[in-house]
Amino acid sequence: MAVEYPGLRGLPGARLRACQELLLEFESDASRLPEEVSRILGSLRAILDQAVDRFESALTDADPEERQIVERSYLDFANVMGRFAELMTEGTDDPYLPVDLLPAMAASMSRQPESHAMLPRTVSEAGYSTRSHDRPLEQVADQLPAGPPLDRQLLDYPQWITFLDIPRSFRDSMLTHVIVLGHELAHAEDQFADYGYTSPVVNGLELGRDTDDEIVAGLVENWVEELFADVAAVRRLGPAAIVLFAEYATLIQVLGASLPATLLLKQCAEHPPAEVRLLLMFTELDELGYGDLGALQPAIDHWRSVAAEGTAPPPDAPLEFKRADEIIRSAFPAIRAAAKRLVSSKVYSRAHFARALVLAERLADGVAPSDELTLVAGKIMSTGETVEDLYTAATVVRSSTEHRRRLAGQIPLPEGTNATDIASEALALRKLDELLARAVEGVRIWEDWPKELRTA
Amino acid sequence: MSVLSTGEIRRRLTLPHDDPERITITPLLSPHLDAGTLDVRLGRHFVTFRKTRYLGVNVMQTIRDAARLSATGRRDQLRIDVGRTVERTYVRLGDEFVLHPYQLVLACTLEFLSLPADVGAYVLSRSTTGRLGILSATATFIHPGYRGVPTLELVNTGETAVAITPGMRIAQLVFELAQESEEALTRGRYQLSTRPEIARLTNDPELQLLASLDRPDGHTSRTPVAEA
Repeated sequence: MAVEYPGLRGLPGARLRACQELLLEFESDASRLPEEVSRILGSLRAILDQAVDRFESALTDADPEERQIVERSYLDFANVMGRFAELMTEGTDDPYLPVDLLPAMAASMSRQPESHAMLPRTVSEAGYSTRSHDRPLEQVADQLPAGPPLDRQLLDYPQWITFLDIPRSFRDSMLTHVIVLGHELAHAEDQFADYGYTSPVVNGLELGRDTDDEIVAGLVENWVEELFADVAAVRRLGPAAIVLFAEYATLIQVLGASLPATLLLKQCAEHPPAEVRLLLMFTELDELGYGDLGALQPAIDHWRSVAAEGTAPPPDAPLEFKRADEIIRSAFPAIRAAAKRLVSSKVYSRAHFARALVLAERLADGVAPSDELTLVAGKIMSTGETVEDLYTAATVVRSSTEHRRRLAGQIPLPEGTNATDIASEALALRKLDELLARAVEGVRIWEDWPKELRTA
Repeated sequence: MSVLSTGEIRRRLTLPHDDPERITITPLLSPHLDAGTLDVRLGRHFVTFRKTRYLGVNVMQTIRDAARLSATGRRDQLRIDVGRTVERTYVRLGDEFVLHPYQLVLACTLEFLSLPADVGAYVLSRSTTGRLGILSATATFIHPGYRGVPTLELVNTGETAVAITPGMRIAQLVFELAQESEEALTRGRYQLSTRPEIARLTNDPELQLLASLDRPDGHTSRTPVAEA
């Protein structure tokens, strides 16, 4: 690359070279990033390299007026690349990012178009979320100097990227990442279905359209998207999705409002009350028919009783919230139907749950199981299925006093404490997260291991 | 104590999961079991020491700093200090980690290991990697009942750098029958490790007592290279 051309010394050149340096520096750490991130970074850098060559060539041959046009295009391109490079790199240089989670999530999805990419990253915000960004380069592709093959190369670059944001404060809590694995993934699928410009779920249900109150319509739109993702999470992960959602929602409410550790009927513009969400999730769970849930049953019974409090709108809610509440409750069947239609047809089955109960015994004994792949009727399980079972198994251990204490008994406890102490159980839960991370890592190792070297 | 034969290792590896005699190695990738030894593979996590961040290791001072920080409710500070003196590196399968001459690195096995209460294991260097100058273990005994990912203290004793890769066979285990299985009930401080573990000096009650003795020279330099 001939970086000596004078045109590259001005603002556009400095900006573009800053982008390149940012990517190069970031790539040096890329070995611990998800492959998807590394691939996209490499692709971005290649585009930058080629763009610089192209612009240099264009600047050499251009007259002053043309040169001004080219340099303006160059500046636009550099600015867009810079913005996107920063977006790409934010939060993803974290060594604790669960690098093994992405393939499992991808395996869980019913469809992931080649033009789309999905990236987990850690962020400073307090909550999990899904954010989509269309490809900014497309906006300036027409302004680039003519010639092959840059435009075509740009088309090979993912056109739509969905970031699955993981709160930095929860980055080591593998179990809470189930929020990504179930709920947020459904948002991604919803967005993927229509390139993210609109939510097919919201459009398809057309709820709240007949009201002239924009506030109510907005609330309904937001809440429908959330409830849809809740139902999808239950379909994908079964009863564990309910327990983990309820615990997470409780935690968030406690952190947010310094309230006692209990769910309260509380809604906001983005989310309906947690009890309402639980109510719908239980409706879906009952429809799927899991029967007795073994060690997870007490936790499920507890949260079912909490959900029962959500059968009526909060009495002190503003009028708009009550109207929105009324509309979404009438739409429960339609929301469930949408989840069944739009999200993966695969449902977390009773057979999988039975397998998870077996894996829970291993985890409680202090083993991180990762290659028991043939437990369901002799069928080799996929990476995604195995990871789903591991999350369910860890949920069982987390929810069962007997399992927690058994795991605590495996840990070197501080002097003067025993496995039944609250502090020991807390240590066991921390260790459970590590064992879960290790088990998921083991599954990934198995997946990556050369097939020629595998032995039965 | 007697060494487990190849047949006995194979038998224990294939016992049901709830059998108290079972040896679990997960994931079990292309196992190389020969002459009473089982090869283990290099894991994907490494811990290296940032030599530019500390003057050297001072065992007693580490213990004293931990005690002082604990007494003032600032034990987390020690953890932060330790974090600054080591670097954790993740290397995926197919990539390389370069071990420079005379460098010590903490690595781990690719496999998670679970030993029954009546079996311990020795970690031995493989002759193939030894001929490259790499010694794969200094703390060689794994206690009966251990569960976790054993830490390997890798040292390149040669004069040239060696690029190693996760998944390569790096060491071998020799299993021994333990006669006193009650020993397994005492959980070691590295039980349930899932990554390379740095030294936990401050958990050692003997060292804590030794560090509490008066020191004549009043030396106060801080050398945080061990985990609180």
